[in-house]
Amino acid sequence: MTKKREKLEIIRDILLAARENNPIKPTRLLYSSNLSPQMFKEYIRLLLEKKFLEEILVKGRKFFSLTIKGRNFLEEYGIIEEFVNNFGL
Amino acid sequence: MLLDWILANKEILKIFYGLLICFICALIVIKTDRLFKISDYQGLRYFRNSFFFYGVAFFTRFILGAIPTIKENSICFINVYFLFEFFMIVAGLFLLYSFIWKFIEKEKNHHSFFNVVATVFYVVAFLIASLNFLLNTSIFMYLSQVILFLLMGLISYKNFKAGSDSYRFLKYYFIVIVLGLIAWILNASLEYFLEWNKIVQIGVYGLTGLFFVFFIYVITKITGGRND
Repeated sequence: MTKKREKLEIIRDILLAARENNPIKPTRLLYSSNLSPQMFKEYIRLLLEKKFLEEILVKGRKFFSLTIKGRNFLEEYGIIEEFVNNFGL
Repeated sequence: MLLDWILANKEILKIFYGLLICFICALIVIKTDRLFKISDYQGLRYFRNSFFFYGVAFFTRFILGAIPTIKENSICFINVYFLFEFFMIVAGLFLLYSFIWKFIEKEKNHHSFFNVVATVFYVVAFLIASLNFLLNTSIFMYLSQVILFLLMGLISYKNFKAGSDSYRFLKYYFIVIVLGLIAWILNASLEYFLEWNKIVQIGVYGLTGLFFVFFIYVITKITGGRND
């Protein structure tokens, strides 16, 4: 349970950082996430796969941008976290 | 007086009971599915599947089973009771899996109804329901449910001990799983020791109803009765 709760929290933190500075450079997002580069890569892959983030190019440089699905997740995070933890999912 | 009224109207009451459980299950499925679609969190998916199958099981047993031509007929050996047992076992397995999936799955399953684990559930449920049919008993169904609820009781107790300070419903979840366990033990006892005692039977219906009401109550509390 703990492992997954942390995972949901990490996702929230990454998405919050992306929302605050949208779009955000990969390096800046890495610093904001407080993850190791390896873990960060895994989470970014996951978030791109879930379509919470998308990659965009601004003047030829890669940025991450928060999607509508990512915004919805942040808005409902409290409910999802309560649900998951109260039912031990 | 009340008991006499219930017994005199038991067939129609069973239909209302079945409809009520189906309605609760449908609400749980809709609300959980909405959260799953937002979060992509696999545990929500298995929890949703469990109540989908509970709903289908009650629909089969209490709604389809109320139609005489369906109740009295079967295709090969598949009849209303077989299907009810099959769906109930699958539902119980999914509910247990919603607790333990995170220790088992390494990769995301793209379909929660059709993957290796779900297939194992269907096969196990089919074998148990078939065994019951062949031996003209329900003991294997009861046994499977008692084992499932015992396991879920242990896990929910562990969860309650670990997180009751932060999450108030964990305690009630443990209690409701214990009530579910008691309901299944009573169900088995009705057939083998209590000779279908009417009062105990009504008690089992009450406990089962309470089980589902608990879930919809907690979900509505958490989601704030949000319209889906």
